[in-house]
Amino acid sequence: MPKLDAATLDRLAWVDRQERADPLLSDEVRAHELRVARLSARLAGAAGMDGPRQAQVFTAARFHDAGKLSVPSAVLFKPGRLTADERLQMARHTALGVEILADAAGALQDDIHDAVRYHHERYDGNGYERLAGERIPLVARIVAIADVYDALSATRSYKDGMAPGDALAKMAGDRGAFDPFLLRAFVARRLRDAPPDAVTPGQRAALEAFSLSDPMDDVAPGGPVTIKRSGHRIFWFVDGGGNRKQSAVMHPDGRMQQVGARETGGPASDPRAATGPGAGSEPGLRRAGPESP
Amino acid sequence: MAHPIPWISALTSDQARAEFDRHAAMRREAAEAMDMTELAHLDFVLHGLQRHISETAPAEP
Repeated sequence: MPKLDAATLDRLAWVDRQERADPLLSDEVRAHELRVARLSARLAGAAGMDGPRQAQVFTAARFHDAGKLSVPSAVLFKPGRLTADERLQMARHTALGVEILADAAGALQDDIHDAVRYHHERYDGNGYERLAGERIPLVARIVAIADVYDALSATRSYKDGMAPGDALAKMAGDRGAFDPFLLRAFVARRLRDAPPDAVTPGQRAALEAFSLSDPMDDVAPGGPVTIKRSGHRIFWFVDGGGNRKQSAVMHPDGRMQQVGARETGGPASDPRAATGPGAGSEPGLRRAGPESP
Repeated sequence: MAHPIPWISALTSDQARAEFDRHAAMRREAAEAMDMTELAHLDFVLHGLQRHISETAPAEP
């Protein structure tokens, strides 16, 4: 785990104090963030990341909802359902979080930024900022899964959470929402950790089958990324004329090749460095399959 | 110290319970739809209502 510099520690401590100051924020934001951080770190481990990388994911996920500190109370506590405009204000918590944590620096800066800003992205491109597939940074794809699972299943002072089996079944049923490899790793890990009575025998059988199924099943034809059985990932974009064109290929070993360009050497480490819809792979990330986690 | 939420603070205990049930039903729908934006909002409302209910409940004899 990289050492945090003084500015980052000061800023993270300030956010922590703000979240603790109000019991409602402490319960609804801080406690949720901590649960998501633990789930995210476990998922990172299930996906093959080493201990220091898991710790980085934990810290980034710990602050993923910091932007809710800046959402107006009139929206957070508005009676009834949100209007379209209020939903936009609520959705701004990702951008507001980036502003709040702008002073965070050092090696964790990118992870924190990515977790805060992109944890509401969907793999199919229907999230807040419409990023899709591997263009969503890996840490954000991890936090997105943990975030939804906690929102569905966590027991709060005022409600019982959804049973783990029900929450996992719901997530497995929304195939476009999540990274298909990470979702399978997450389901397998939660099945292993859940108490026996938290998942019905029928759910366990179905979820075990899901966790062992081919992630390609979730990648919609015509989507931004196609995963071939060879392990190659093909990235697509739509040009100004509405034509779908191939932009890049990621080889099974992580090498990225832009269409019309020479192959890059070695795995790309920064998804935002890629110019096409294809983003880099995560060094050290072992894709989940039947043999893992 | 929790900051006051005017519309919740103005409710009687019975009104708060009715609002809690109404918002809990909305939350179930949001969870079913995996609508994370609405879920987050309703968690704040429900938590505020639950806190108000516990603060305004008549003392046990």
